[in-house]
Amino acid sequence: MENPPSRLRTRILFSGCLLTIGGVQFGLLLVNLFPLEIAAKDALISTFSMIALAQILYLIQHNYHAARPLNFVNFAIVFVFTALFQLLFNGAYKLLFPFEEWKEYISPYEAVRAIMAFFSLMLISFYWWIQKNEQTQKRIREQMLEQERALTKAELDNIHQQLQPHFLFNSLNSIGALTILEPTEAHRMIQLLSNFLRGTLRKDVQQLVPLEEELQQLKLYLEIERVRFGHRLTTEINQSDDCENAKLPALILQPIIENAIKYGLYGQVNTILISINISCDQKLLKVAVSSPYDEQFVAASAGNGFGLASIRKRLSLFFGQNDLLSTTKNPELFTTTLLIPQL
Amino acid sequence: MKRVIIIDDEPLARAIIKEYIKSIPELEVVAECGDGFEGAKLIGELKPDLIFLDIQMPKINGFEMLEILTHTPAVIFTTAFDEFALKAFEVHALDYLLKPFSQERLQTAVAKWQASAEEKSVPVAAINYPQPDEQFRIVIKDGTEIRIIPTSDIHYLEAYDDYVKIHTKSGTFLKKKTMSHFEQSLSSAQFIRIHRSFILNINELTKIESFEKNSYVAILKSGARLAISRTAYGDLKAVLGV
Repeated sequence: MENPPSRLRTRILFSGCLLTIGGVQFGLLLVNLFPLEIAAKDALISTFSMIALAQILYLIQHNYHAARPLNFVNFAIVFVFTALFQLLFNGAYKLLFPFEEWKEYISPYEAVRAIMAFFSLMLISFYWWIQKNEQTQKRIREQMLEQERALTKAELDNIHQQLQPHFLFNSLNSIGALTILEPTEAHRMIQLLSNFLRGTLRKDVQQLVPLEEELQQLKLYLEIERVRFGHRLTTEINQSDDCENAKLPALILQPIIENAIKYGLYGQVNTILISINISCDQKLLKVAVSSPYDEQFVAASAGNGFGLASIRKRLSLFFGQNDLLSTTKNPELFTTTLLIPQL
Repeated sequence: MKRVIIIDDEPLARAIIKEYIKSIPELEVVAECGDGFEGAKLIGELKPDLIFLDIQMPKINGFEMLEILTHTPAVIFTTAFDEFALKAFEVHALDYLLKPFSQERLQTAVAKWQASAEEKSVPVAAINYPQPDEQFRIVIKDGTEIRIIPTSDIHYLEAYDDYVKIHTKSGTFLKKKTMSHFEQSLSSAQFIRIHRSFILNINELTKIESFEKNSYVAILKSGARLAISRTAYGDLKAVLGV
């Protein structure tokens, strides 16, 4: 459905239907040998009271709609309105017919009238409910589209992050230097960089990949960084045995390590050790990355968030939880902890 | 013989520059290092004629290092890719080399320097254009000490002749820059120019007092009172959402 019918259109639609019903009513009464005046007034009064009540009902439901349209309150409103209709109708007759004989025509049909009024009002209520439902569905569809768009954007951002021009050109520069100084090492570096780029481009960031695969990619990255920074960068990966089947979103670890390297290396001039500790239970994979840092530089560097905002966003898109990434600081170590629910 | 220092955080990047320079007999590499702190120290001690300088480095970046030097040598930037740097190059440096670069490219840059050195070109002075990290910190030289001030520690900035006086919780410091430079580089969500002479950190503001008709004073947590110009009063109110 492109657009929900406007409120005005809906209300005109109701009124039209009710007028038609009024016409039919008029015809039926005439056929049943009601006097013309009574038939006409009867049809007019009931039609217009119904139209008025229908408008009010529709407005009430529109403006004060309940979370679940088919609830007790809605039924109650329809009942009350039916009663109101009867009162209105009888009242109008009393005013319009000074003589008493109308009662002979009207009274026997009171029950029928009430039931008809009740069902008309129920129909209006029901129509509104359908409309509401369609709107809800549409909103859900829109939300899904929005989420898809956000994921696509995250994917693009991720690719850009992986292919960071800074990283790429610095790696190429290292290769350039090695071709002259150490040709065999240059050859190895080209292999590393190619495998790394291939791994990056082949992965769909909306997929979960086995932990082992993610770690392979990470090791390639770390190996390249080690060539670039020489002896300054050392890393250790501690993995508990029960993580064989663990899965995590593709390429999620690298930005965290990159962050640790950035603040570790850029903050410190000495050799740094980055440790990656991985543990699992049945429902949760936990990855903790610790690196040394220097308060003075970190506090004055990336503002807040340590450049982890995009990871946090990706995780919340993926798992619908906002508490999967946390950071802690103690005087020597900065630790980023990642929790991945195992589905 | 001209003396050269190479400053780059990647050992291989330094190695290749050294290798290339071997082919230029007029140059001698007297030192190399991997961060801006060490770089500033070496330049002060050795007073080189020329430096090759990377931009993204540990501790303080290349630009920040240049700003705290008292003796400024000629600079050839070497960088991989940096959106800030590209702007800087247009304005300043003698030359810049985009990594990876060839030996010929480096020789051209050096030749250019040798040619310009004879004309006595102006050395690098205050750098008034956007730099990396500048939103988050300001590097200043305080006597012999180098200080890194997180921008969140700044109370306010005050115009002071050719300098800007930086008022922080740990004291006041001078930096040779213009007010309009800071007005642009600092986050506009946090820092507001409230007067020709003042840029205020909004988080430090406690209240605004009116002291004459149409004239207002900002009162800071530290107790400092700063005049607010009439035009800035509107902007300030807009930022504070009143």
